[in-house]
Amino acid sequence: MVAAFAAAAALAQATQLVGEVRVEIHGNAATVRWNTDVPTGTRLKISPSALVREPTDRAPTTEHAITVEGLQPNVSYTATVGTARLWLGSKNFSLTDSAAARPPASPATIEPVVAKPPPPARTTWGNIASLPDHFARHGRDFGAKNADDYARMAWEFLQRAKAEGLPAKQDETGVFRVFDPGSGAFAAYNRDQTTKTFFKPGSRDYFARQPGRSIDLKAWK
Amino acid sequence: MKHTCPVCGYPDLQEAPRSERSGGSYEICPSCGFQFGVTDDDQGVSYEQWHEAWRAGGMKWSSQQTKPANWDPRTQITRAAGLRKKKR
Repeated sequence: MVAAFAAAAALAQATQLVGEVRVEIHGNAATVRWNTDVPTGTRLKISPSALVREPTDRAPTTEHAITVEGLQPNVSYTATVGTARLWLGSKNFSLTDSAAARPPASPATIEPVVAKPPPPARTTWGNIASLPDHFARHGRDFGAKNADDYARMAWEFLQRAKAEGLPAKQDETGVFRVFDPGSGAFAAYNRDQTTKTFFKPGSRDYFARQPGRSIDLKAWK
Repeated sequence: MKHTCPVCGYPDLQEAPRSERSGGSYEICPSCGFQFGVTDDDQGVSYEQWHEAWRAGGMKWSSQQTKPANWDPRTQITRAAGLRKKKR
């Protein structure tokens, strides 16, 4: 018993703050963050409100954060942080304290994730001179705005077909056809994956009547 | 190698309109507008039916591509008639 108490005391003695206590203000709330050199419990006291927060559902950690709400403007608060047994340090702040209110500077600007644009139609459509005619005839099947838009849709259809493994078949010359039973879209592509045509057939068994053997587009790179 | 449209006789198709190994070419004839493998296989329109309709409509250039300076539909249709005759 004495030995256990001595060990716990030694652990408490060894626990130290790493860096400063940080306070981030969000409206009338504040998030207090701090780090410890060894995993410990988490406890926060806010004075003068006499609020003590000690999450019970949190495992010992070295990265601590607690948010308190309902703080009043123009009041000087002290955030005292610690483990279950020991107070380690404190930080004064108020809701009007701009220094405390400012969150730590982000180390890098986060750029929005932008999908890679599809290649231009001249590289995805097999016979580029014929594209306006295919668009004029079939563009409305997909609500395409113009020939480039239509060509892009045909290219995207192939990418989706590869990702989802839509029904496809390839004939002896390398031409392959793809069909989406859900939307009724059909496309034919040359061996080099440029588009031959893209439309929605009116006959139900059109794809089944096309030449070629079934292929697994998911296996294609 | 250029190919001739069996519907209207246009002599400059990029692909054979139809082959045993690959079916219809999906090419749209810029002259008469027939799409091989679609107008016939999907819509059920025969070469003859399309030819007659195109002829009745005044044999107009169908494509948004520029019409060749020497394009002559009357000369073409004679050629097309010969092609369709061969197929029978």
